[in-house]
Amino acid sequence: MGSKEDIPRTINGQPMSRLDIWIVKLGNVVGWLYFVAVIISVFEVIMRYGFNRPTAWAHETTLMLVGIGMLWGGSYCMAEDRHIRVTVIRDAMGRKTRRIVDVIVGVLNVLFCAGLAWAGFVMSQKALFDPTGAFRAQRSGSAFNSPAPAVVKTVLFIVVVLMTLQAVQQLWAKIRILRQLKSDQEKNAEN
Amino acid sequence: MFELSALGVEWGTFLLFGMMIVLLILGKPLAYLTGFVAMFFAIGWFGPNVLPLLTSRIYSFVGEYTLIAVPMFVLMASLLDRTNIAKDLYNAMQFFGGRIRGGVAVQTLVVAVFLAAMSGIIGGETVLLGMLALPQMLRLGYDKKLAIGTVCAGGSLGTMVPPSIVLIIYGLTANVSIGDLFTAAVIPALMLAGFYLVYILARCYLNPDLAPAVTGNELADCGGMGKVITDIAAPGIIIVFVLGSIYGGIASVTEAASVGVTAVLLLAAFRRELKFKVLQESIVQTMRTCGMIIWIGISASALIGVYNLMGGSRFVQGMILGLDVSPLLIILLMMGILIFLGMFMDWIGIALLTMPIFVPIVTGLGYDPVWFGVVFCMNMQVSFLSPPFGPAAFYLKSVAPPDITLVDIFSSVWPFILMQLLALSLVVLNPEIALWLVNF
Repeated sequence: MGSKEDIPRTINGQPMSRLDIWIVKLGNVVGWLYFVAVIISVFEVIMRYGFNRPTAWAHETTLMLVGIGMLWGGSYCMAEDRHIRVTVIRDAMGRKTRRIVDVIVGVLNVLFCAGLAWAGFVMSQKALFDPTGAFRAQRSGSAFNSPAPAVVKTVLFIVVVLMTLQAVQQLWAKIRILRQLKSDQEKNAEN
Repeated sequence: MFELSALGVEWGTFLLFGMMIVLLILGKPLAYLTGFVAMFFAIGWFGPNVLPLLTSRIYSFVGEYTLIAVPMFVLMASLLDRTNIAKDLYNAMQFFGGRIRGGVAVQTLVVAVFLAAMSGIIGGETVLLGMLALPQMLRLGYDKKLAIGTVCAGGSLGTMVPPSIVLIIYGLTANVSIGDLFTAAVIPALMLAGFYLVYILARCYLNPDLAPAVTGNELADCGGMGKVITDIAAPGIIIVFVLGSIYGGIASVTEAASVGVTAVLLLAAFRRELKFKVLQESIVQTMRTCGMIIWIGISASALIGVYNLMGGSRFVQGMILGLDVSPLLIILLMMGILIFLGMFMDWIGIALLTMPIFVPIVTGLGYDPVWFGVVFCMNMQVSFLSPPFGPAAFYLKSVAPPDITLVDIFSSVWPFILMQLLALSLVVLNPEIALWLVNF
């Protein structure tokens, strides 16, 4: 890595981890799905009104593309530490209390994300495998009958797993800050 | 596991609220907070086997066709932010606005309505006006408070003027036609903008010092009549595209949003402003904004799902309907709850948490849920401006000159909040203001 300024930082000025950077980079590509969805929707309107030939696939495809984008957004915002929170009271706490609170919140985040990851695992497993364990993608059951449900559920699973990893990483960073504070205090006490 | 269900739904509700408040105070992100509480209660009340309920709520939430209008409108607003379409509109309006006393404030308000009608994103609009209109008014010697108030209030009109994403989310949770909601919001929104307009003109008339007269050469160059016309017509075309395809019944809201994005893209291309960088930045912006609001929504929808299973909605509905008071008082009570929640929570979280409970009560009392949608978004507009967490103030602060503090902003917006409350009470007392156009 180059100089300090090269490291991407969250909106709160914390350096981003390699995982976070990767999630943001990939997210910048995933975001184009929104754009593709726009094009498809407009194409559908034109086909329907211009040529009286509505498509069977536009609806489900837009849903799938935008769904993937929105899900990825959760992880993306987590990487950049963008999720809205009310920090007025937390900021008013003392330095040590604040750091302890951060660790507690970090633990809760890990629990939540891990719970989702497990639930997502159960769901995506059902979407991808039949009860005998053979691979078969769940389909929408419409005229187009796309495998969109299987795809979106798998992406959901991937995103919640990523979020769990991010939560663990952020918790670790907060614990380190707390320990740093403690060792600083001990040093001060010795002096 | 913990046998929380032994608590009964009354104490369960208290515990749930208590937990939310504690976690909120600790600074847990809203996007995980409600979801965490949902998970805690799902496991504690029903056992770990219901956990997959949470992910299936997430899945069905992101699979709502109407919801995906939100990212499309966000993309549209992001594109508008990065082109000079809004700026040119603002300058063109000066051609008219520069000539009357207080004209620049009026011009700001008119541009705010235009921007609100182009896309339904609230924060972006306040930021845009904060960058365009505020420095202009301050430079021309306008009263600081009047200028700030106009920008904040104008910017928050986006919550009401169709196509508003607040109304889209309401329609989604309340199962109400979004077209009807958009129609119902038109008159109240214009009425509110009318109040602002009268207020600005009256104050400038009574106290000319608030808005110094502007001489011709102090105004930015509009670039001649032809440019004025095209600069105003261009956004006009976008509005016709978006609202026309919704009201005309040509396209669904989601498709209309896509048509709007395409209209902005074409216009930007025509103006030679469409560059890869602009697109990529808009897409990143969309990713960020949607990631934030959609996950707050996901999380809130998970919580209300679990709370429903606990029998919570029925409990709250029974409690509220059991009150021996007039229906109007019940509506006021619900509005009080909305404003209270608005002090800590994002509007999307509030909509998804409260509307599944409130809307059946509203219909049970014999009111129209379409009307309540308008009432809801007027409520959200009030909380958008009011302290302590009024997001409009923070949005404006992020782009305002450094000497303008949050205190300045909050002390400037109160006349506008009063006007919002006036408009709100008119709509509450006369539902016809909203419903007249729908039934027309």
